[in-house]
Order: sequence, then C-alpha cells, then structure tokens
Amino acid sequence: MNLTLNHLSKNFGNIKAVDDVSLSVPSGELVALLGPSGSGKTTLLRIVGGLEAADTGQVLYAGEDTTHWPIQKRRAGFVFQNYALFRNMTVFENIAFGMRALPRKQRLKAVELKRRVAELLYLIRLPDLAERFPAQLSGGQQQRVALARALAIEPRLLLLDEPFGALDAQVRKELRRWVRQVHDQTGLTSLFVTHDQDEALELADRVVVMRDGHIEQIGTPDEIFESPATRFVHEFVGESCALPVDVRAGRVSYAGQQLDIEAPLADGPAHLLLRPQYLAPAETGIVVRIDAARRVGPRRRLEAVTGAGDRLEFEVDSDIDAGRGQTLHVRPTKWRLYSIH
Amino acid sequence: MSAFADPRPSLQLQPVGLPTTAVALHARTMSVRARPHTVLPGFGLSLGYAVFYFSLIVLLPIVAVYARSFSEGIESFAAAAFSERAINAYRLSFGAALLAAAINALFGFLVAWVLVRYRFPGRRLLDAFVDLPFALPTAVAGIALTTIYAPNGWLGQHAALLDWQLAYNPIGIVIALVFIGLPFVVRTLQPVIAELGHAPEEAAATLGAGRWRTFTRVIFPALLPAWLTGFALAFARAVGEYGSVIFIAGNLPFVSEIAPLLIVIQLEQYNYVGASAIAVVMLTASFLLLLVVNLLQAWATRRSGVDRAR
Repeated sequence: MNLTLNHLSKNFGNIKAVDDVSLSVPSGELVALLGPSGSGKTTLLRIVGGLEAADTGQVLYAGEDTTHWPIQKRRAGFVFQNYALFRNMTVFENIAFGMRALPRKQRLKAVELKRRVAELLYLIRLPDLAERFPAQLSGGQQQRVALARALAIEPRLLLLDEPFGALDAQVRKELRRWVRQVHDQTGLTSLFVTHDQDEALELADRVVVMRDGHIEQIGTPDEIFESPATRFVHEFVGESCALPVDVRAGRVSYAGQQLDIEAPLADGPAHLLLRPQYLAPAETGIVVRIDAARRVGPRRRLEAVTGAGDRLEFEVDSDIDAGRGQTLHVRPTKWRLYSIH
Repeated sequence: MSAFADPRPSLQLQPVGLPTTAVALHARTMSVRARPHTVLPGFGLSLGYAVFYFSLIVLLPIVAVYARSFSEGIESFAAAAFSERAINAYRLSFGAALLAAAINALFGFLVAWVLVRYRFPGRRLLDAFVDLPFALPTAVAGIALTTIYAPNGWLGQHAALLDWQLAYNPIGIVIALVFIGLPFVVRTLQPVIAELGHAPEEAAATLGAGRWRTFTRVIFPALLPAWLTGFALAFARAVGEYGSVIFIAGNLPFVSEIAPLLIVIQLEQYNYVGASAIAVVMLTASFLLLLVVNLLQAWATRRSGVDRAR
C-alpha cells in the first residue's frame, strides 16, 4: 500500500512539532525517519498511525484520505518504543489480541487463531515462549513479540518508533537485519523512526532527514551520505569537519590560501564540509599540525589543527608513522560546499 | 586456570550451548541463597527489632483483647458477643463499610483517573482536597456531614421534600464512611495509573480494540491489584470508624448503631468483658476479610504479570 502525506503540520503550544511535511512512500518501501530528538519524527509517525491528529494536512492510505479515521479503522501496525506489551497477558495472548478484537464476523476460529499465532511465533523465532509473560522475556524478545503482535492484524503498513532504541549493541545489529528480512518477506510499506544514522543508512530503502519539524532531505542512503543537501545533514549523518572558506569567481580559498576546489556557488563566505574518510595526506594542500593520533581498527585516526586554528580529523593507513606535533599537508578527495546565507 | 597453559581444548568442560555467564549467574544465585550479601548489612538486627516492635505495638494489645474477652468464661463471652443487638451492629458495621468501600472503589477510580490523565485549572487544588478526609479530625467531619445531610441541613432539606432521609439512619453511616475512605482508593490508584501511561491503550487501539475491550482487557487487569489494595484500606478504615459516624448515624439500637459505638457504650457501663468480646468478633472478622482481599490481590498481581521476573 502506498502512503502519501500532504502538507502535514502539528503544533504543541508554540512549538512546531511537524511543519508542512509532504512525503510519498511507494508500496513496499522501507523508509527511515531520521533526526535528532525534538525533530518531530515521532510526532509524524504518530500522525500517520492516527495516534495524533494533525492540525492541517492529509494522510492518504493508497490514495484514500484517512485523516479523520479512528485509529482502529486504519489497521496500521504500530511497534512502540518500549514495546508496550500487555503485561497481564502471555506472549500468545499478546499476539492474539488484535485478532480477537476483530468484528465478530471476521474473527478466526480458535483452531485457526492458534495456527496463526504459531506461525507468527515461528516467524519471530520464539516458538517455545508462547506461555511466557512479557516480564520473563529479554528486551530483544519483547521487541520481536511486539512486532509479531503488530503483524498479526495483517496491517496495511508497519510503523516502528525507535524499534531498537532500548537494546544493547549486539542484539540491535541482529534485530536490524532480521527486521529487514521480515520486511522483505511481508512486503509491507514500513516507516521507522530513529536517531541512529547507522541504523537508518543500513536498514532503509530511503531516508528522510528531519530537523525542527521539517524535512531537510529525502534520499537513498547513498545520496544522504554522499550528497547531503544541507550542512545539517552532512554533520548529522556521518562524521564531519567544517572549514570556513571564501568563494571568489568559482575558486575556493581557505585562510588566504587558494584550494584546488571548484565552487559552483555565488561569491561570498561558505563552509567546506569534509569527512575524515575523504581526507588524505598529500604533497600540497592545507597545512596541519597533528594533535593526537589514535588507532581505530585497522587504520590510524589523526586529529589535527590548521594554522588558522580549525580542527580536522582524517584517517591514514596504520603503517604511516604520524606522531603528535608533526606537520603535514592534507587534501580532500571528496567535499561539499555550503554557502552561508 | 590459565587457558594458555592447558594445551587441551577446554570446550568439553561445559555443556554446549550454555554460555559461561549463565553458569556464573547460577553459581551466584546459589551463593546468595547460602549467605545473603547486600550493600546494607544487618539482617539479623533489623529483623529482630522489627519483630520486637511489631509484637509490642500490634500483637500484644491484640492478645490482651482476646485474653480479656474470655476472662469470665465462654458463656459470658458469647452472651456479650452474640447478643441480638451486637449482631445487628456487626451487620451494620460490615455492611456499611463494604458498601462504602465499593462506592469509593468506583468513584475513587474516577477521581484518580481524572487527576492523573487530565490537566485542568484547579487540578492541584482538587488533588490537595483529596487528602482532607485524612487530615480532618473525624468529629469535625461528622459535624460537617450532619450539617449538610440532616433533615434541616443544606442538602437534607431538599432530600426531605422527596421523602428521602439521608441522616440518622444507615444511609447517613454510609455517607460518612464514603467520606473518610475516599483518599485511600485515590492515593493507591494514582501512582499506578501514572505508571501505566498511555502506551498500553494506544497499543490496544492500533490493534483494533475499541474502548470497552481496551478498558476491560488491558487497563482494568493492570490496575486491579492496586484497586484491591485501595478497597481493602478504605474498608478497614470504615469498619473501625467512630468519630464521624456517631454524629450522623442517629445511633438507634438495632437500626443505626455501629459496633464501635456499642463497644464504647459497654465501656461506659464498665462492662469491659462485653466490650472486648465485641472487639474480638470485629477483629477476627476484619482479619478474615482482609486476608481474603490480600489473597485476591496476590492472585490479581500474578495475573497482571508484574512480579514475573526471570
């Protein structure tokens, strides 16, 4: 089912939680809503699920305006941040809850219901835990039960609010891949909220970067990482260093020194954004003095200061002997320029 | 043991699939059972003191009451404890207390729900007023209620036009007991409702459940243990209530005379055995009722899945 959001806005008092957001999600796509806390991503997800009412704008499910539909009618599977499992029910009862809440005519017979729950338990790889209570499960298991419970109602789309937020790093990684598998198996249009850029880039088909209630950029993980539309996106996704530069007649200069960089920008001050991975020592370039060197996995991470006092970070092969106090030239292999308005 | 010194593979030492942490954890649980190790020591001393204190303050007086009531033999005990007047008083005391606790359970839930869930002008004031029945001297409460509900009182005179008498009869007693019991239900439910949060009902709604199903299947079971606690506290307080009731009850023997008043009447006649006999019956009945409520509560807590830690 495709999902369309038309000019959604939502205010809490004076705060614009969601500010004129439009988005179109084709059927079967897995979309990440990425942003820092307070960027409105959770509010947007809740509006899509009907848990929050937008002040203006529309939510279309497969072209049908659902803006004023009650939550129950939407059939949007929602996985809550802290899972919100029913503590007084077993895993089986939790998963069966949605099927039992169906109108009497559509309700499954007890045998079929049991079979369906068993299928879902198999899908979440917890076939033996049907009679456990949520308090007897680990965080990762609760998370999977919450997902099975949402899938049980055969939802039209799947909404996940910080689905891996409360889990430890190892479980989080495993669950991420597993959620991707489940998504590919079910083919459900899915939206998930996260503040973790790695999670968004690894898991999603498309990433929506949000800031202060509006969308900064929509793009594939590659586009978001390689061609950030704004300085905010550049700094929020991946690591960044920024240098204040001047643009004159298409040439970029930093601290009086002209750099070998083309600038399709109007004349004036700008920011040159660099990633540690795309900055390398060279014969000529920006002169830096090394401040600290740390080993990061197979490579060496250098922290350096330019003559003008700006900090730069970059990576070199670990066999390059670079020590504190040494000076060298660095050149960016990839960069982004953002003019200062 | 050094893994490097031993050339043989050490994997065979433990069952496959059982991670070492589980073994370590298990070993720790065992040692805990053998000898408790806590940050704050002093189990022996604190338990000893707790038992001594409890005995001195609670058990000893109760034993004294039992001893006193049987001090002149079983016949005089039975005569005092099961006289027709006493039985009527028990029926009234427990009946009115149960009814009042039930009313409080219903409306106390409503008040607690409103106080936790909604923000409105005067909420804090209302919240503070809930404690008033705690703080007010019971005699003051009794006089205040009588002023309102007596046949010539503010509300009582209007009720009198409809031929309803709200004071000087069992209805008046229930009104007084509802008044003094309200805070118990509200104050026990409030934190639990706050802790429950909105997530469970939102989850239920996204799964297609309507309001009734959400309430009966999700919210009610989660609140039931605290609800029963509040009910039990309100009931216990109501059974023993004296001050606020005697003003509004009218105190007619066989009609609106509560058991605590009967005890006082016996005492005023220097009939200490009679007084303690009635006290013993009340004590025993209260204990049994509270035991039932506690068992119910344990059952509800088990059902609510809260204490099911690993």
